[in-house]
Formats: sequence, structure tokens, C-alpha cells
Amino acid sequence: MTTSELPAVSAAAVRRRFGPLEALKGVDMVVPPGTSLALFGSNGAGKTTLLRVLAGLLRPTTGTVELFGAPLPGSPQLRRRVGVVAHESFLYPDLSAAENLRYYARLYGVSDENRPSELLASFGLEAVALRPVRTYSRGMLQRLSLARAILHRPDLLLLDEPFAGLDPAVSALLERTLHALHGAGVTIVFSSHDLEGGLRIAQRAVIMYGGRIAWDSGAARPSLEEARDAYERTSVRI
Amino acid sequence: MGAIVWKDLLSELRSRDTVMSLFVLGVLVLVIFQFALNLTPTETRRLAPGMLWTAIVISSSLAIGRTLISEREAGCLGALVIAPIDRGSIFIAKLVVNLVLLSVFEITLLPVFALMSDVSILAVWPQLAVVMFAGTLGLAAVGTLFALAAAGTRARETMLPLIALPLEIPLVLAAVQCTEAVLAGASLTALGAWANLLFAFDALFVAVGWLAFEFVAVE
Repeated sequence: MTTSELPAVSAAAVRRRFGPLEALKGVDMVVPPGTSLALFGSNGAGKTTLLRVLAGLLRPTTGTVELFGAPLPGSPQLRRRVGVVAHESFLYPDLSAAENLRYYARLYGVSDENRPSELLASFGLEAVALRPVRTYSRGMLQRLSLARAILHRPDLLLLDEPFAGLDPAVSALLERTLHALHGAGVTIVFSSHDLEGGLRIAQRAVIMYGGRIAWDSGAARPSLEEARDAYERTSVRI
Repeated sequence: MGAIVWKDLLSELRSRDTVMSLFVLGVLVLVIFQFALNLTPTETRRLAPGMLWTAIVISSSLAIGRTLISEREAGCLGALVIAPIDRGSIFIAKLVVNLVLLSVFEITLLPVFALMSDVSILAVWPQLAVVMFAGTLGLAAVGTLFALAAAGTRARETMLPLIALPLEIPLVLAAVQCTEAVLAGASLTALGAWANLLFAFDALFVAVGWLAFEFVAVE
């Protein structure tokens, strides 16, 4: 298997415990490179925990995670291939957007000095680039978070609820950006509550329930009806 | 590593939170000693090294964790953990930042200390600078390492002194003894076992911090 054929994500029997609570109960998942995958599920299904484990933010209690064939936590070279948009913005409130991006550019060894300003322009943040981030709205923060996450041109992008709390204009911008990244060959794994919105971006859907993968559409893109039916069968067990 | 140091110092330059609170606390401790103990000038000079290090330790224990606790409060600690850098270098970067902040604090506190204690520091400043640096490095190393552990707890700011202060006792004893000797005119080579303890403590906690940070950093 060549390096480019190795799965972007490979999780085997991943369990994660927080004290008495088991948030992940044995997750197996293989994501080929270039895939766009949406993780759906109700609150507490394990989506965030799984994404945090895949990002290297949490250690699995048991099980293994490999990114591009290398086990986590991995070398700095491996971590450079991953971009993360988490619940936290990973942005420093006292620094401006330009300073935040310059800082992350240095941290990730981005040699192109124009890259931060290019991203600020493409995300419509040029006019507010020198304002402290603490003065930003939720939509501006989310745009800047995405700019930060793709600053170093990652091969794998992990996003936790990227559309939560965004207005339609910002959602559309985010959607266009994710489409463009996917078109450029970036592997995208994101979580969402919105089946319709998520399926506009994802070619593959996975539904989680109770810390397990309850349904996986496989390689073929599911229709909205299929996904909705699967969601109701797996997630609504009252 | 340089990026983290630059970002932290820029943030501190904007807010001046840490250095200001360190200075105010340090001066308050010195003032409390002066008035609570009602010391004669001779007693003040005798107790001066202990007063100075008590002020530094108390102030630093309350403020040193800010560089890591603020990362967690801003939700940015995760970004450091997943950044493509050696995790030990995160510790070194934070240690450098804390060392710079504590050094600035001490440079501002020392003239106040000299005036209040009637101690001449100008004649002995090179030796005093070495002892102060060694003591501060140890405090910064312990504080930086355990600030990360404390940052993950609910009682962050109170937890750090509880963990760090007991470990810092040998360092403080050595620093007080070395400072006393230096203020009395002793050369660095004459400091003996206390200086050895001071430097050994520094080496131990810088090494432990650099090696252990990887395991403390990821939840």
C-alpha cells in the first residue's frame, strides 16, 4: 500500500472513559483519503469525544487510532497534516485576527508570509483583521477558526459542529469552503446535528448512538430520506 | 517555541496583569512583614533574605500559573497540544515566559526591598543576580510544570500553590541561605552546599518538566 492509499483515519475498538461514564464504547472506523464524512447523532452520542480522540486532544482509554498509517499521538510531521476546528476557537482573545494567524503560521512552520492575509481576505475578515478577537461575533470567530485550521494546508480536517450558531450567509461561506477543500483532496470529518446541511457537504454519513457507530452509509452518498430513516431508527429510541 | 514566547509576552504587554499583580503582592508581603513584626533595623537586615524570598514565593505561586491557566480559559491549550511541535518545547517556552515575567517582577521589587530593609544591593549585584536567577528558575520550573496539572482542576488558582509550595521548600531554603551569604559579601564560590542544592533543584525540575510535559499535556 502506498502512502497515498493509506486510510486518512483508522480507528480500531476505540473506547474512552470519563470516570464512570463511557463516552465511546468500541468505535471502528476507516476513512479513505479524500473522503468527506459527516458524523450525525443526538447529544451525548459520542461525536465530540470521537473527534477529539482523532485530533489527538484526548487519549483513547483502549483501542488504537492511526492517521495516514501512523499511530497517534504521532510525530510533529503527522500533526502538521491535521487541521482542527473544535468547540473552543483556539484563538487568543487579546490578540487581533492577524496576530492570531501569524502566531499559528509560526507554530505550524508556514513559510508563505502572505498566507494569513490571503485567508483573512477570503473569509471576509480583512477589515477587522487588527481588532482584538474578543470583540468578534460568533460568525466571525467561526470563520477565523476555519482560517486558522486550514492555514497550514492540512490533508485531514476535523470539525466539531462547524455550523452551530451561524447565520445563513456564514453557513453558506463555510459550506463553499468545505466543498473547495474536499475538491482539492482534503479529507474532511465533521459532526453535525443538521442532516440536510451535513449531507450537502458529506459523501458519506455515519450515525452515532450511545458511544457506538449505529449506522454507516458506506462509500455511496446516502439520500436525505435514507439518512433520516436511519437516524430515526438508531437515534430516537425513547 | 519562539512563537509561544512571542505570543505570551505580547499578551502580557497588552494586559500587564501578571507583572502588576506580582509587584503589588510582593510589596504587600514586604510591608506586612515590616509592620506585623515591628522589627529593629538590625533584625530587619538579618531577616531580609527570608522576607525577600517569602514575598517572591507567595507572589509567584499566585501568578505563575497564569500563562497556562489563561491558555485553558481561552480554550487554546488544545491547540498547543496538537501543534506540530515537541511537547517538551511547550514547557520550555512557558518556562522562559515565566522566567521573564518573574525577572521583571524581581527587578522592580529589589529596589523597594533594599529601601525597606536598609540593605545595600548595589555592591553585590552580580552575585545576587546569579542567586536570584537560580532561585527564580527553580520556582518557574515547578510552577510551569504543575500549573498545567492545576489548570485541569476546578480550583485552578488555589490548587497550584497547594501542589507547588511543598516541593519548593528545599529551593527556598537554599535561595535564602545563598542570598544571606551574598548580601554579607560572600563570593559565589563560597556558597557551598546551598548553591549546589539550588542548581541541582533547577536541573532536576527543568529536566522533569521537559520530559513529563508530554504526559501531563494530553487528557
